[in-house]
Amino acid sequence: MVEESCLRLAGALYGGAIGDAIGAPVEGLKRQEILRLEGPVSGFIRPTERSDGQWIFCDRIDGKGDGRITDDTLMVEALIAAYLEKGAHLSAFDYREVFAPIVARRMIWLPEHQREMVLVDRLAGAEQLQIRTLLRSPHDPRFFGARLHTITCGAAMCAWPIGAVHAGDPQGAYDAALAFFAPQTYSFGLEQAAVMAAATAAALAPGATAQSVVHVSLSLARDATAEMIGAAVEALRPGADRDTDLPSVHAAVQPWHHKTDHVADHDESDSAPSGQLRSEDAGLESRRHTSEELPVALAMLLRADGCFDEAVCAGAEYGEDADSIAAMAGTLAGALKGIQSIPDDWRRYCDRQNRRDYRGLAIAFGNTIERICQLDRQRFQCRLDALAADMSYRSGDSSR
Amino acid sequence: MFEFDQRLKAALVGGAIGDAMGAPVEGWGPRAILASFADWDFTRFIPPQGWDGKSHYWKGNGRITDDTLMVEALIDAYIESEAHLDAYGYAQYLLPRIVHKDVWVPEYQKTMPIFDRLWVPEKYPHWRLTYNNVDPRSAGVGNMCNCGVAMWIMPVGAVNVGDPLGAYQEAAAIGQAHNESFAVEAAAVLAAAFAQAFAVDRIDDVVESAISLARDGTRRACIDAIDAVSLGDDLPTFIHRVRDAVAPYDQKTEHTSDDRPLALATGTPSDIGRPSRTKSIEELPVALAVLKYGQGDFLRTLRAGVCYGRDCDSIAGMACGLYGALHGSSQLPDTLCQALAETNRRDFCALANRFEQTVRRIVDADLRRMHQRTMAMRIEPDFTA
Repeated sequence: MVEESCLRLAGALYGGAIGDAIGAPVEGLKRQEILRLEGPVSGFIRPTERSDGQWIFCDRIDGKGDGRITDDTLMVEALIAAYLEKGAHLSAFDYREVFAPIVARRMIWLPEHQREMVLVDRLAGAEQLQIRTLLRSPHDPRFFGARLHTITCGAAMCAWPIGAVHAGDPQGAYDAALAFFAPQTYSFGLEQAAVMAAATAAALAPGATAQSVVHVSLSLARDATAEMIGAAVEALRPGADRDTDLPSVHAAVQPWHHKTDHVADHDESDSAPSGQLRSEDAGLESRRHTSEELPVALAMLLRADGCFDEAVCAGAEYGEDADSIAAMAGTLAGALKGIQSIPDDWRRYCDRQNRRDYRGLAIAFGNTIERICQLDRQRFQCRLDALAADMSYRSGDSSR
Repeated sequence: MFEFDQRLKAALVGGAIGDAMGAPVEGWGPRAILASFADWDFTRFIPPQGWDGKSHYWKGNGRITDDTLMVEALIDAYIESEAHLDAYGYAQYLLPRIVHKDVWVPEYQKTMPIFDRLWVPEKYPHWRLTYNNVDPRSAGVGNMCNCGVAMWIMPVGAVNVGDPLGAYQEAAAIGQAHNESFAVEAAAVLAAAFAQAFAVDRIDDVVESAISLARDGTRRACIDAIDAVSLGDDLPTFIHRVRDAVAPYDQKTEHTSDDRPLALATGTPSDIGRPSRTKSIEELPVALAVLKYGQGDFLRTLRAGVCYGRDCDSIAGMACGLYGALHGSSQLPDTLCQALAETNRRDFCALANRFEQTVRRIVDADLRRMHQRTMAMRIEPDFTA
């Protein structure tokens, strides 16, 4: 993979990891709580804890905070490892046979726990159960995700490497993500993963912009996911600050948010600070509801015009699933503008705090991607040969 | 090497011939068929064999059945979408054609939606998608696993001509809207077989390609069925050996024997149609075996597929469809082609022509996508044909 493409791939990898690490210590907080605690987010945040109903900083060398990556980035690493191992496209069967064993059995340095352990033990309950059960299940992996008990953003949060493998071909990335994550999830969980992969493929195309990434995402997305993305980006005002845009986006996505109770009539006086009650249908399959992480990440990317710092920090400041939002925004911004757009000291800090060499990983992944692309070109030549068509194609010549 | 347009026409017509020839003896055991039709002149269609007491339609005399009706509907869906299809494509383009579009249904001798001609499992997607609002990608879960997707999958192979992996993936994506487990696997494998058949000249290349992509019980059933083929065997021996080879993979085996049709008393516990990693549909492995046994002789292929019995309209449809994709139409008897067109009031050649234009446009679009990828990789694009 030539230098420039590799720089953008490294940008995606660092961008996602840094976003994850910045958002993690404020995951689950509301924006007002974040502003009270930290003020506007401008970089890495120290570890936090809840004490007497208030969020405060604490001193600890483990857990979220201080640049430590979480399950989002760990799963990305596992997916990249699966691609390196297979050296080819990954199917649902590969999820079961290559990816899941890496997650369940490969020992890695886990920054939040400050020790070597297997990734699966760090996953959230729903995802941990899904992978453990899959490895013991008689079901065809292609249809296992539909037997899932709860939908999360667990596939979307690690889908971007599929987009990288299909860089420049969002439709191909979308289809490949649907196939790969079928054992893990379904409904809007699967749709979100497919759109994230497509967005990444779009971001890695020559001449890509934040607008083109959002446009591609909207053109491929289905059902509530498409509607929520549309609403999130519509809520932005040109040149507006975070105080205007973030609450606006938050309000705009509510009608499709699967965690929001759309039925209950609640009294202003006894509602939660955010003004919404958690729905008992949260995580249930639906074509009318979806999760907010990717739509919000796209909105953050767009309002920052792809600028890395602002996309990631605004994403983290949004709160809620802040690590996933900031990670996705960071991945796409990093893919768009390349590693050069990410502050040097942030990258060094990220590698150091997590004992990683992401630049080296990006190079290895880039080599695998190039190999896969070459194999696909050979496959495609077979199609042309079979049609015996006069389809010679020269650079810049898009007509026949 | 035959041109793609000839192969496509022959796959469509060949498949329809197999379907129509096998239909009047569908469900029969091979002993009964051979007793009546061992010396049949297969350049003429088998006539109706009497009302079976259950169905309301007349098979025979060249009338196509649900297999070919669904193939036509899928071709039509591709012509409208002008793009690869997936589960959502099934819901958007194929399902409306099945449920609402009026076509001349030869077995009923009237114009009607093909939905009313379909068997129960093939109606499941309508319930799941139209009434129950299930996400198309999981709509097929819970259906009865059978050949109800594989039997109409040829067009997916055509769209992905020369790319068995692409055909396999697309068939699985489409199939998920309709069924699951080994029903989808069989469709994916058969689509791959067609994609390869359209591009090569040798039966062995088609078989190897299909088996190399196949998984689980479907894969093992195909391997065993092919291993059971001995070209020197006479027809009854061939049928017997292939049936023995696939029987362990067939969920119906414990409930039936060769010449008695399956008729379970209500309440009999059975796993027929339940998802499985070890079982397979019978039609696909047998169709591959029939193709191999046929050795490029159309009438030999047709006769073997029909006389196998059981679901022989689908088996002969698949085998003869593959035959056409591989070998073109030079051995397709004029008598059958003419009777087929007249009896079914179809112009299959015109349909194949229109579909071929669509396939080329889809490949055109794919070429542009491939170019975008090479640009992203900064590799010099240099596709030539």
